[in-house]
Parts: sequence; structure tokens; C-alpha cells
Amino acid sequence: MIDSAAKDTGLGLQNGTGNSLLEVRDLYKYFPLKRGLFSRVSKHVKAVDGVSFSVKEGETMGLVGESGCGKTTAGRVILRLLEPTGGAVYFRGQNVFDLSYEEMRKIRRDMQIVFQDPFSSLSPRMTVKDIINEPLLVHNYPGGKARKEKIKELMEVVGLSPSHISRYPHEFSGGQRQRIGVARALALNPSLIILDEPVSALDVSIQSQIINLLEKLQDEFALTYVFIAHDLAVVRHISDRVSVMYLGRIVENAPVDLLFNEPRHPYTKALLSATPEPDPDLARERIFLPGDVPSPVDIPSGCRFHPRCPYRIEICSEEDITLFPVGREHEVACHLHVDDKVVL
Amino acid sequence: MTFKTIWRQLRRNKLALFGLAIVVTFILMAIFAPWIAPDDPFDQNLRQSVEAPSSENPFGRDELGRDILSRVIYGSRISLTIGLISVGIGVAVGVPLGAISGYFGGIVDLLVQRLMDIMLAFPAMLLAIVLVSILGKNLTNAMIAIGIVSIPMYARLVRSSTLSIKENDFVQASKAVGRKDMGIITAHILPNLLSPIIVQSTLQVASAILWAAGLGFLGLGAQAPIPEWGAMLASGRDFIRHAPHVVFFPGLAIMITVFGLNLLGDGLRDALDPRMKL
Repeated sequence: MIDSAAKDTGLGLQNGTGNSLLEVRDLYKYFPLKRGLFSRVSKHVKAVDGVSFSVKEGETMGLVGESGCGKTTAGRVILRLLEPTGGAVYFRGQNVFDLSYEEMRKIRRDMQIVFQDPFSSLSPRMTVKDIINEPLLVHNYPGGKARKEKIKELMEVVGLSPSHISRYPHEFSGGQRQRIGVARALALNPSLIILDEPVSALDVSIQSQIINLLEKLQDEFALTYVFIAHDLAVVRHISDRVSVMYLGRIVENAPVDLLFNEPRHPYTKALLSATPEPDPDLARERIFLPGDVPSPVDIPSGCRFHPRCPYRIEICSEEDITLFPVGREHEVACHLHVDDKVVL
Repeated sequence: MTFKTIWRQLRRNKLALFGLAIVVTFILMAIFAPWIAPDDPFDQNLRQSVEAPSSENPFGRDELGRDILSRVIYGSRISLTIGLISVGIGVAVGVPLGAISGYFGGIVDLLVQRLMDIMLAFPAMLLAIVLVSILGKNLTNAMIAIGIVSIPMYARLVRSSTLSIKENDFVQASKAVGRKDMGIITAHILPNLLSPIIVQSTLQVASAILWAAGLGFLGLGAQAPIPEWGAMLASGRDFIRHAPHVVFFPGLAIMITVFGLNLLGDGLRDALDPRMKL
């Protein structure tokens, strides 16, 4: 947990910046694995295993990592859709895990989420009107004509025709459905939206439309985004800063250009080397990682990446390591870079 | 979804309309029984015992020489009531129990499901007999008993559907917006439960009529001489070899009712599903 002094200063965190809208401190989420006759909890799936980051107002933070690394779980714990195992999430300086049920309901209008799957995220038995109406209804937005006008306005803002207000989700394409999801998230004028792989279920041509929409909305409504994704090209395009996640923990965190041009962590390097390069003549070093991602139930000792790391040294299998700064706003969790550690 | 849009959907489904026609016919028959029935259903005429169908008695006469057509018409009053009331009790109690159990999980789920297991551990008929014996022997109590016996079926069905529905992101989205649990259950879980409930209920009406017949046969349901389809089946059983018409017509009435309800149920299920819009 965190001491009150750190809380008061807003705690600049690792990258030494104040005025963060969202601060995640040592977030843990373990899922118990029940086994046997008496449901003994023998082991835990360590989906999120000590994640810390902060997001400044108006910024887009990309959270990347391969499937199963815990990025989606982290997003849901931040919104308390899942209860945390440990840690703290400060939203405007207030720990949301300390809030009562009622207080949490009130603060939810300020932090919203857009889901990955445009099919499962909209109830098949509700019209667009009902779907966008739900947040307004829950937070007692004036009813009647004003509310209908608001719904139509939201539809227009996200690029849907207001004349389709009485249609059902199945009458829309994937991209349009995702727009409905964005309109729902936008309905209460939130300041933070967690975008949980909002484009990875869409066709590439539609992806760019949705990305453009999200960027337009960010300018228009001064939104702060946490953009969860596994597609590096998309993340590079939209993010101001990127955190790379591996097996429940962030291994590198840097401004987007720095991360893509001077990656430090071997995992980040491997990820970047795996993205397709449009220029066929450009020779590149490709890093192939041996083996699979270890199970989040039995996390390797020492640095959790060491069994697959092509550059590992002796200490990697023995000593765990957490993020430390290696430059302005650049943090990495790797034994190879301990010598580059800087004090800010 | 308004009544008008449901009706518009239903109208396009010929089979469902046919089912609706059957159900409406039986309901009208029940309401206007005294005006439709050609004869008094209680009027015995022992000299004409188990007389075969004729132009005078189109369905023939039963073992006590009563007009079977009239008894079938009067029987619709009681049999339909049994079907609807007992299914109503099963739905009214079983659906909320199942939805709450599936949605909240944990200790609530454990308690509700073990209670249902206890009820399921007894054969349905036996449990109904016990309940009627406790409540007292009459038709109303038989309906209540059958309703109670059908609760675990709904509770289990609804629980398992709820478990899969609540995994959808739209439930998470509702939570993220700050909706309370009961609001999520009524706005998101229940509407998506409609299809399995309708299908189960239309089948359950038939079972309820037959269970009521079984109870009547044991003297725990409709008491003689009240005309009730199941009881008519039960008492006509002894004459099935030389006078099959005594069981044939009440049996046919049950079959047609169930058939009509099933067609209507399937049609309603489709009409209530926006994805099936034609």
C-alpha cells in the first residue's frame, strides 16, 4: 500500500511527473485455482502481478503485450469490474479501491470502458436507443425529449445516423457496433476511457476509421485514454507513451518514439522486430524468442522473462527485478541495464 | 418491444398463428362451456355406459353414460387452469431464484442449488403427493403442489443460462456505467432468458395437466365427478380394450392443447427475438 505523504504529492511515480489523472500503484490481481473435493485453493493465476503506471490528463497511454499477459485484466481491475487482490488506483488523487459502493457508482461516470468484442458488448435485445440510454438512465439524466436529443447527438458524434436509433445491434456492421460502444462510453462525459483492444476485432480498413474517430473525440472532449492493444502499429500511431507488459508486469515504459527507436528491454526488442516492415530492402535483425509464454500460475524465478531471453546473464534467473529509470521518462526492468540506472 | 411489434412478427409466422388459433379456441371453449356443451356433463345414464360415438353423442359416452363431448368441453376449464396456474407458480418462483443464483454465485448459489437438489431428489410425483397431503386434498392445492414441483426445473434452466449471459461484455458495460445488480438482472439477464423460459413453459403446461391427472387418479386432485381431462384418462383406462373412445377424446384434447401451445411458444420465442426479424 501507499503512505499518505506520497498520496498528497500525487506521487510523480517512476517518471517523475505530477498532475496524473490516473495512477496505478503495485496492482495485483490473482485468480484462485480451486481444486479437489473441498475446493482447496492450491494455486493462483497471477494475471496482474505488480503493475504500476501513471497517465497524465489528456494523454494516451498504450498498454501492449501478447495474449494472456494480463493487460485486459489490469484494465478491468482499474475500473473495479474485478476486485483487486492488492495495490491502489488513484483517480484524481483518490484511491478508487477505498470508495464505497455508492461512491464508486458516482465516480464511474468519469471513467468508462470500450470493449474489444463489438458483438458481446451490446445486448442483442436492446435497441441502440436503449443501449446509449442506459448510462443516462442510471445517472438520472433529464428524461423525455431532452434525453432522446442527447442520444441522437451522441450517435452523430460517433458517426452514426440518428435515424437508426430504433435499430438492433445485429443490424449493424462490426465497425458501426464499435461506434455504438464508443457512444455509450461517451454518454456521461467521462475524462478517462479505457479502450480494451477496441479495434483488434475489426477489419483493417475499419480499424483506421475507428482510430481516427477516437483521436477526433479525444481532441473534442479532452479525453484521456488507456489504450490496451497487441498491435504495435496501432499503438505507435495513437499513443503518447507506451508500457510493455509481460506475464502480469510492465517491463518497459517510455514515450512512444523513444520506445520504438531505442527499446531497452529484450522483450520489447523482440516484439518490435516481429512487426512487419513495409520496406523489403531494409535489412533488420530479427529476434526469435524460444519457447512459449510461461504459465501465469508458475511464474519463473528471478526475472520472469529469463527463460526466453536471448541475452540472459547469470543473475537473471536468480534475482527478480522491477522498473527503474534509465533516462527521462524511460523505465525498464532488466538486469542488463542496471548500469544505466539514473537518479531523477 | 411493444405488443404491436410482437404481433406484427407473429402474424408472419403461419404455424404460430395456427397455434394461437388452437389456444384461443380452447380458451373460448372453457369460458363458454355452459352454452356450447350439448349435454350436462354430470348427467349419468348407466344404460348407455361406454356407448360408442354416434350422431347423438359425437364423442360417445363414458362408463357412467355421461356425454364425453360435454365433459371434454367442461374439462378444458379445469385443465387449462391447472396448466397455467402451476406453470405460473413455477416461473414466478423458479426464474428469480435461478437468475439470482446464477448471477451472484458464491454462497447464494450454493444455498439455492442445494435446496433445488433436495427437491429434485424426490420423484416429482411423490413430492407432489406429499405436498397435497400436507396442504389438503383439493384441486387448488394440487395446482400449487405441481407449481412447486416445477420450480427446480426453472431454477436450474435459468441458472445455467444466466451463467453464460453474464459473461457477456454488455453486462460488464452495464456495471461500468454504475448500474446496480438488480437493474442488470432485469435489464440484461431476464430479456435474454426469454427463449429458454418460453420453450420450457409450453412443454411444462402439458406435464402439469398430466401430473394433475395423476394426482386426480390417486384422489388428490380433481375429485369425481368433476370433469378434468387427466382424470377422464385415468378412469377410462379400464375400458381401453373394448371402448377406446373413452380415453381417446380426452387424450386428443390434451394433445391438441399441447400442440397449439408449442406452436405458439415457438412463434413467440422468434417474435420476441430481434435477431429473427424478417
